[in-house]
Amino acid sequence: MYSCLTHKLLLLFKGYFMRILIEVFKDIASFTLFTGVMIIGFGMIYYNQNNRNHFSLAIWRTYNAIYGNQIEEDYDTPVTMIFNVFISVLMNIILFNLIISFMANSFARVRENLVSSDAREKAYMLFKAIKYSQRFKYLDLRNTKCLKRKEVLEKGYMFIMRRANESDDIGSNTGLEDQLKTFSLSLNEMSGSIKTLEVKIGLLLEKQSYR
Amino acid sequence: MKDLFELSSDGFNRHITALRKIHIYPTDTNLFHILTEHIPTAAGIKLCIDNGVVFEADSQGITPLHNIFSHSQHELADIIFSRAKEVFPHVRQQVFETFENIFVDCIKVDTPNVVNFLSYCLSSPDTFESYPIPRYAWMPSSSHLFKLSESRIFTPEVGTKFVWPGAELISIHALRFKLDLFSYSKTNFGVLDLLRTLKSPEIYSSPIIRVLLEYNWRRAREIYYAEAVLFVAFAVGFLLYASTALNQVFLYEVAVFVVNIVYAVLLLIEQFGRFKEYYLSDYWAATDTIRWVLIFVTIIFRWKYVDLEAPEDDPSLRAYNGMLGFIILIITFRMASYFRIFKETSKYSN
Repeated sequence: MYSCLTHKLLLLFKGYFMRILIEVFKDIASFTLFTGVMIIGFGMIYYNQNNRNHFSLAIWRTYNAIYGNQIEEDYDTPVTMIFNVFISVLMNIILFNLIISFMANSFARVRENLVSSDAREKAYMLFKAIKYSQRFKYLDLRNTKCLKRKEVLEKGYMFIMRRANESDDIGSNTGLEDQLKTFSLSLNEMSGSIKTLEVKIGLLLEKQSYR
Repeated sequence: MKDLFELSSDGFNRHITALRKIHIYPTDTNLFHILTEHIPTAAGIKLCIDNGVVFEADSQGITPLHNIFSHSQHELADIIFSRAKEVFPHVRQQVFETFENIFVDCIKVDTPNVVNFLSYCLSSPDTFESYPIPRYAWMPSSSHLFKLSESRIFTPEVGTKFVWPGAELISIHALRFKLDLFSYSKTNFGVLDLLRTLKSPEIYSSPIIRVLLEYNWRRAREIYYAEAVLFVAFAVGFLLYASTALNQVFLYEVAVFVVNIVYAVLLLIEQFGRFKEYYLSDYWAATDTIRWVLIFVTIIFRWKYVDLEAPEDDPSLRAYNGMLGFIILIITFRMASYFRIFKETSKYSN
């Protein structure tokens, strides 16, 4: 379990995770350009509304209004602004959406294997119950009320009854297909023998007409 | 035969084609047996299937699959399973009977092709005189109903045991070999052990596997219901201890301590001797361990260092309350695990 965890952590920091980030940065290049144009456009509106004072501040506030950043006034220096832009893109947009997509992926994977994972869990529980009953004889599964009342036989041929629409996948090749093959073969044989009979009758009729 | 094995691949193929109808007396073995026993290779098996060599059992009831499993080459069995449509439709009932001993190995192959094989292990049951197999019946909420019988014949006695008159269109199939469902049998226990860790999810959807799990579940569920009731009683008892003045009652504290000892002993017995194999992979066992260790530590800590009459900011009292909170969290988490035993919260039919 621990080695598996270490392996996953290593993968997280070394492998596919960084690759995802690089790919996301590549993919959002055009999106960033479009967003930049939009921010400048809306920033210009604020700039004009504010008697054309502090153009950079208008752009900065528009940007913060979009991504909801609460930056203290003291941090409004040009260098920190650049860092803040980078941090908000990385943390607020990419990583936050990445975690959502990871969660969606996990959810889809679990849903896809819902039956099998549930069955695995059940098999584990049954395995544990048998282990229990081996150790504690009074919990012996043969002695349970249900088994005593309904079923005594423990080795035999299992008859399974299912709804017809659920059983399309079983026994289809063994039963009906074979029967159809046999039926078509016997039909061929019959038609062959009918043809032979027809020929024989024809010959007999010809002989009689000559007489 | 020795000369045959020393031939080049072309010569080998030619000879195999020529020998495809070979039948050795008195062992009743054919080419499929010889190849799987002496030179079990993927190429040999494919060649046999391509040339239509019959999949048969010899006089000892040994089939090519038996030979493959005796060599522990489960990947070769997968080749046969992947071409089940060519191999198994013509296999006689007597041959299927021999699969009883290798059922666990068949599941062990653990590929989606196993489902192909399992589908051929079910067929329409044999009929009794003119007694018809019902087409309509009453199906309860559980979609799988089953019945064990000593023969494959669908007698009126078998029919009346599990087919109730109704209007739902049904189909009845019978397994083509006997299944030993005794709890500790090699088949039952072996398959359950495998089912815990199979990688192919398709296998779990197979009707045989579903029924096998369901059959076992009907026997074991009472143990889990009892365990759930006991645990809920313990959880309520502990919640009362942690949140009311009951933690000042010495006898109640001793009772919690003793119940905790019982839980710890049960867990240790259950996990005894298989610590590495199962304990670390069982999250619930790990959770239980943390719980009972913490309860011991908390109660002993309370007896040694905590004064319940002390002011609220007393460090020992705060630590004690923190520990209680953590134990309640674990108990709540563990209680949620019992949802899986009820069919309303389980996707797998029971």
